Amino acid sequence: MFIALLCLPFAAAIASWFIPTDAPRRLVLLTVAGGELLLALSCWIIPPISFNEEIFQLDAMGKLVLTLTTLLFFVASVYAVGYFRSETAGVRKDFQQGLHFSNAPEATFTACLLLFLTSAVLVAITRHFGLLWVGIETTTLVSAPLIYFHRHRRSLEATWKYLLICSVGIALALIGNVLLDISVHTQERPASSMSVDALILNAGNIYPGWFKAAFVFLFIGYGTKMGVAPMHTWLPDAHSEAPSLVSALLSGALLNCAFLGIFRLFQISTAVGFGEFASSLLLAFGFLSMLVAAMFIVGQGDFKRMLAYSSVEHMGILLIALGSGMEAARGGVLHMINHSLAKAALFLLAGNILAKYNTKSGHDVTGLAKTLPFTGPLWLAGIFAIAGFPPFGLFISEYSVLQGILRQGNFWPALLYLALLGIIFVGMITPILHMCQGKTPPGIRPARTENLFLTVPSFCLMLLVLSLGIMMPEWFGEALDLAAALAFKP
Amino acid sequence: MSGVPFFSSMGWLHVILGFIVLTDLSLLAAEHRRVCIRLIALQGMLLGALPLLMHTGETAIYPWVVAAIFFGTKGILLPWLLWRTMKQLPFSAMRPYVGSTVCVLIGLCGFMLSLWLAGRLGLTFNALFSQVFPTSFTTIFAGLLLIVTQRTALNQIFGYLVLENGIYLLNVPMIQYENLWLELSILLDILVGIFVMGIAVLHIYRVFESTDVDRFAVLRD
Amino acid sequence: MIKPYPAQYCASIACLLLSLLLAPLLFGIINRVKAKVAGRQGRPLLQLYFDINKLLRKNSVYPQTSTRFFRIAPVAGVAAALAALLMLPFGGVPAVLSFPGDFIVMPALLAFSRYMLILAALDTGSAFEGMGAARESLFSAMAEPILIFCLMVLAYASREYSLSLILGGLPATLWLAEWPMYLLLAIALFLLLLVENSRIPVDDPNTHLELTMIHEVMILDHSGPDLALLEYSASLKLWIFCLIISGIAIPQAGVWGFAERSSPAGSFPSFALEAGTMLLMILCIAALVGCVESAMARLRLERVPQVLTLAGSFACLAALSLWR
Repeated sequence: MFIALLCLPFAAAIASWFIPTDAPRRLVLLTVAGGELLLALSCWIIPPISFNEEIFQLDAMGKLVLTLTTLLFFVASVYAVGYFRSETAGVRKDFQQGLHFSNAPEATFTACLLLFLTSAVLVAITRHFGLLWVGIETTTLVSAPLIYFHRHRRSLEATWKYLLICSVGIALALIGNVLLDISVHTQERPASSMSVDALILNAGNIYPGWFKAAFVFLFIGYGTKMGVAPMHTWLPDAHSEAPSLVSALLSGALLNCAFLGIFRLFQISTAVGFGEFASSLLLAFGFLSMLVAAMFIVGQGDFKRMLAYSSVEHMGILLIALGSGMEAARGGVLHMINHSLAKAALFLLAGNILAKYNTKSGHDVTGLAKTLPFTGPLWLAGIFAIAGFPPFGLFISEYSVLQGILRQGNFWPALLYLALLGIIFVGMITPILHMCQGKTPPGIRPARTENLFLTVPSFCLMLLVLSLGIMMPEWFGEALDLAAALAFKP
Repeated sequence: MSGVPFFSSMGWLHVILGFIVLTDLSLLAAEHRRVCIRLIALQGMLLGALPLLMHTGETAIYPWVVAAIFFGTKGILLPWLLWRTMKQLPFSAMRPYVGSTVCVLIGLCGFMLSLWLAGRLGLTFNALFSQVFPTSFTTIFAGLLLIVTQRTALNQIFGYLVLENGIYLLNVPMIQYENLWLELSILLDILVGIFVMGIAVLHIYRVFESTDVDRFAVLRD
Repeated sequence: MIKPYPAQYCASIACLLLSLLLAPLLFGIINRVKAKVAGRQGRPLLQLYFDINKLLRKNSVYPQTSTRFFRIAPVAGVAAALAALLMLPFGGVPAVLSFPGDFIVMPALLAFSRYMLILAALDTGSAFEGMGAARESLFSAMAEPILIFCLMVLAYASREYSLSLILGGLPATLWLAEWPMYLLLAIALFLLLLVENSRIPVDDPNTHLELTMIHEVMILDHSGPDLALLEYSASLKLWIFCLIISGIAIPQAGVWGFAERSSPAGSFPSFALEAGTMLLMILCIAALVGCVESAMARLRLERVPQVLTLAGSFACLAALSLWR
């Protein structure tokens, strides 16, 4: 099962590199994305058997991340088909700087997408710290060409920043891995194994100083990849310059992979008895991320950058949730799922708006509701969802995180959390209402219908977010309980 | 570096560690790219030779194979890749944000800090880790310093490579357990990373007609 | 405190006399090496002896504006260098004069001679000499702390406070245990030698352009026996630096029982061997200076601090290598 999960997209990546014509390649992309999703779903029914428990093992958290990643990838690949069709080949003019540019070859792009899926799946199905690192590093490398799809100066700048900052961050995480290995290196266990189980089994014998150093390095490293402030600087650039479907994947899948790294780290820390230390660090960085996001979201003109900063905010919420005890962590896992679904839908819709209006500035976009009859309402609903408006799933998860913080007896942090959420809510809703209402700007014709490939994916994602908010199935709640328990009851 | 017999393998280990610190400081002081790449190659070769000195197991062939792999990649392949990339770019003088003198002094402070930190963290089960720790962290520090102070994209790659060398150094004592598949996959990742970065640098040169990262000023809030 | 034995005492004085005699030879060697590398015949090895001999037979001419500082400086320079030389061990025997703390006095004496020279240069009232004095004082202000730091590291490594014990009594076991530190210090001191003795990457002793000079411009107005004394004290200073470097760059077997500080016994052959090695080392250092001068061009003035930083870094690394 694990082998199939890894080999299917990898083989498809190699194949799509060599398929000369577009139509079969798109078909391969769609089939593989669908097949991968089916494989992931089948893991819920038949627990997969691993040939080596130390290397590949699917626990409750991994299963959630795996399903989420494959689902988002499937949705994004449906969108990709529509996107490839609408993108004209050859040299075009850049609307922002007026310079000419062309796109990267579609074959390379597809291959990199599939490789990205491979590495993200690897991150989800392993409980081995070294392999986790390899997976996360590989996602960086293969997503860099994805960001540089539109070959113009801004995307190149974003790509370089992404590549360099994330590589250094990941290198710091590697230092953390080595230090972790050293810290658990004891008389009883000279030849060490880096899987979570082995580490927890040996929790009694560690060198505390080295473990703390390892924790700090791993946290900073994966935090960089996750977009935690103050290491978030690559995130708005990369998300705003990448093609929309890549932004959706980065926000929905990549950040979760990095969060999974921090989750595993937290698992070890509680087992070793450093839960307090880890929680305080997570809380500090979580609140800092929310604060930074709030500062940049208010008055943000560029709507794609606004979505990117919103990702920084939600990553902050995830850290706070993980650092505030079991109940909040359960809400956090739910929040991770909700955020990925809603954010991916929003980025895909942002791509439609960008294609229609040829601008990223929220001030220049008006009359969205009339101009794009499907995208407009969905966009409005999505923004309300991501800001935490009641019927949607994000409200439930943000509320349960708040409940968790209050259960711990932390009144002031809860208040700060609420205040920041409020600021971000106002900061996001105001420009979006302006975008949706008003007249269509001159020179842009309102569309009667839209390409279904470009709107149905977002619609499905929004439907999922809504249903998670209204009625959550019982088995899903149990899965959340199991995932949260991993971090606190080893 | 002190208090060990002259001709034992431990003595040689310390000599190599000392030389690695010297290459770090020279890299911080270097003012030409060619010198930088040669220093990186030298450092890679020194690092590649380390598994031979640290190995204590029975099999004789294992450390040689590992040393050959790392020596070949870090000492020859990666510098060659960098050299090729450099040849495709026009000659340009290095203009760091911070002068080389200050860089060397900061690097020395980094060395002192690493020694202090090594004392602070204390001994581990395998004493080798504590011995390589100061050199390793000095190298990591020098790599970060190179990334931060350099203005051109290519020189930032040098810094990244030096950073990775430092991490590798911290990991070398694992050779004693003959369980290095993970290190090899990490090496592969880094190799691909350098390759991707090299391609990105060439693209940057083609689009911006310079590899100066000062030109990256469009995306900001 | 070292109690000298008569034989040791004689050897010390003999070594001192040898130093005084051979010091001007170093400049001859440097110039010879440079000439050979450049493919020229070169000046005779003993050229400086001839120059000093010639100058001593002439009269001195003094500028009208000058006061007695101008006349004292050459004598003070030679006296200070001589006094410094008294404290340096040579050939494995203790120096003529040795007391705890003389490793601070020795650099102080060198500084004193430089101080007198700067005063004399300012005394002439010439703009050029003032400029030279300013540069000299600037660079030496950076070089002196490094020299003292190096000596302090040496003192710490050997837990002794007298130059005779720090440098002279370096037993082979200590050297072998700490050899990276000694080599790093030797490199640092070699760089200091280049700076302090106005050698090429820092200053060009053969230039004819006053604007670029440092040391030579300060002694432009001296003539006759005064100039001879200045040249001689410059060669003594070079000798002193070579002596320090060769004292730490090669381990000594501890002959004469000096390292154990117990037995007065010793033999003349072993002393001769020790002193001969040391002498050879000094000559090699001079030749190395010649090679460096042939290989390098003079640095711009603003890059001189970089050389000093390099020297300081090596000294720091040496100190850090003692960290346990």
